Order: sequence, then structure tokens, then C-alpha cells
Amino acid sequence: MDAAAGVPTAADAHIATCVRCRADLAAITGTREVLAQVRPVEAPALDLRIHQAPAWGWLRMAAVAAGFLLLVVALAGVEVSTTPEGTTVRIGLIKPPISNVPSAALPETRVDTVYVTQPDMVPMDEVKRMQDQQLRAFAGIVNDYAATVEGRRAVDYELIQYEIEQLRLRTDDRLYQTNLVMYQLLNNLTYVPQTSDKP
Amino acid sequence: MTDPELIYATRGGDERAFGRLVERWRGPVYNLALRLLADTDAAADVTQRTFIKVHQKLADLKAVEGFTVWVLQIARNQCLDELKRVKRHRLRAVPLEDRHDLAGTDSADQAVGQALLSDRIQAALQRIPAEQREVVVMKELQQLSFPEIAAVLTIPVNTAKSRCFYGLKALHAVLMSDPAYATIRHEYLS
Repeated sequence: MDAAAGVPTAADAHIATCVRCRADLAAITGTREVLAQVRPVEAPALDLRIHQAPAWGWLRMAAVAAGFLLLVVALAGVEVSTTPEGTTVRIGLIKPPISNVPSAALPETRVDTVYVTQPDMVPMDEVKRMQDQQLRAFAGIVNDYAATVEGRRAVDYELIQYEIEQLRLRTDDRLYQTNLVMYQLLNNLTYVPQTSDKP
Repeated sequence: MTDPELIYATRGGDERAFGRLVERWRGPVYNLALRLLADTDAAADVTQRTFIKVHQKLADLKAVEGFTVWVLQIARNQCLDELKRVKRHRLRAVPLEDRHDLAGTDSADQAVGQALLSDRIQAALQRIPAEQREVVVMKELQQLSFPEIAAVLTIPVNTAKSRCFYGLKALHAVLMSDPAYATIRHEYLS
């Protein structure tokens, strides 16, 4: 029904003749009337304080992540070795990554490493001898370094002495010149008695 | 003050303006959530999360005139998240003691009848398809227009009308098959 004009529309004409559409319309109208009886529910009070995660939460997460990483590294059996060819990081669970040594010479796994190295272990006295040799080499390096430093200090001392002497000479010279000028000035001065000087 | 004025005031740092905005919209948001989730606690949580989201994103809202659609979109998305989270398949009726929709009734009988009727409608709403339910709730309980519903759901207006028609028809069928509904209508509201 066109309410404004008060005349039946084409839809009204169809509904008047179609039983099915008339039933649908009645169902929808009835349901809408029922829904209209439902009143809105009063909303509860809200707590809108926005909670922010404390800063130490990130630290805790970082600590857990670092711990996990250490665990993984420990389980993986990471092995770092330095050779003249460079530094090699070897992980027990995988093959050695990069090496200049022919692959046949490298063990496939960590277990192989143990198997290969055990029979060739160095005796203890040989180890001590090598350690002493290393200590002596280290001491030699330290002594050489100390001698170099001492030599540099001696050179620096001589340079400083020289600079001081030069400075003193320049100062004496200026002092001498100043004295000379003063002396000449005094010689050229003529004394003019003042009235206040009279007894 | 209008919604856009309150939004501009909030953006300028006036928290009281935001409080007024919340006071104005918490009812519609809560009722939408309650009808879609059929759970008072979940509806309260969704309402709270909705306004926290609104507060966080208010600076990004370009068309402040579209605040109604925007806030209901956020509320609906929060409801969908809640439904996914809980995987709620079974109906959970709103407890009678928690009901606040009895105001304005003439007599105790009528109040009880209306509360029971609301429960049956709530139960029936949960038994129709979700996409029809949200359109019926927005149209018949939230009094939104079809263009607004279409904007909230990002669907064509005709699709919204179609879902509303089939939703009302399905709701009628569910109510007619509910013996408790017929009894309540007969005993309390006739």
C-alpha cells in the first residue's frame, strides 16, 4: 500500500492474489511485532583502563629466547676452531661447512672426530713442553714490547729536554734584550726636579 | 554534542569526551554483542574490547560522520573473534536474574512474560544462520537502516534486505515450532 497516496501498489495487488506471499508477509509482520517487544538490555559499566605490558615482560622474553638459543647451541655441539686458513664453526649435527682441507680428511660427524683423534693423543710431558715453549714465546713478545716502549720513552725524554733548553735560551735572550733596552732608556733619562721634591 | 564533535574533542586529548562517546554507544554495542553471542559475560568483554579498540584507532578514522557504522563494524568483528575463540555451538541463554530489559512493563506478570519471551527469541535467534541473524538483529533490534547494515557488513543493500527477509521467515518458523513460545504468548501476553 502506498501510504502517501493511499492507493494499492502492484505489490499489494500481487499479495491479494498470491497465498504464499500473503503467508510470508504475515509471518514477517508477526515476527517483527514480536521483536519489537524486546527491549534493549542495559549495558554493564566498562573498565576502559588500557593495560600496557610492563617493560620487564620484554626482558623476560629476551632472557627466555637467549636461554633457548644457548640450549640449541649446546645440543648442536658447536665447535669453533681457528686455523691459518681462517676460523671454522663446526656443528656436530651437520657436516663441516667450509674448509680448505680436502673433504676426505675431515670426519663426517662428531663421533668420527672422537674416533680419529683418540689414538693420536699427545703425551703429558710433550704437552708440558709445548706449554713451556708457548709461555717462553709469550714472555719474549712481552719483553720485546717493553723494550720498544722503553726506547720510545727515552727518545721522548731527550726531545723534551731539548725543547726545554731551547725555551730557556729563548727566554734568556729576551730577558737580556729587555734589560738592555731598559738600561738604554735609563741612561737617556734626564732628571727634572719637581716642586714637591723641595725640602 | 554530536558524535563528530566528541570525536574531535577526544582527538584533542579530552578524555571526558571519549567517556561521553562510550556512554552513548555502549548500549547499542552491548546489545548487538549480546544478541549475536547470547552470553552476558562475553558481550561485556566484547563491549570493553570494542571501546579499547575505538580509543586506539580513533585517530585513524577519516570520515567521522561514519562513526556509527565504524563502531558497529568493530563490535561485530570482535564478536566474530569471540565466536571463533570459544567455538560456541551450543545455545547459552541469558540468565533471568541478569536481565535489565524489564523496565517500562505494566505488571509483574507482563514483566515475567516479557523476560521469558525475550529468552525464547534469543534462543530462536541462535538457531537461524549467523549471516541472517546479524542482519535481523541490526534491523529489528538496533533499528539500523539497510544502507547502514550494508555498510557495516560490507555487502550490497539488496543482499542485506534479502538476508533480513529470509532471517525473519526462518525466525518465525523456529518460534512457531517452539511450544514454550506459544505458551508464553498465550499465558502472559495475550
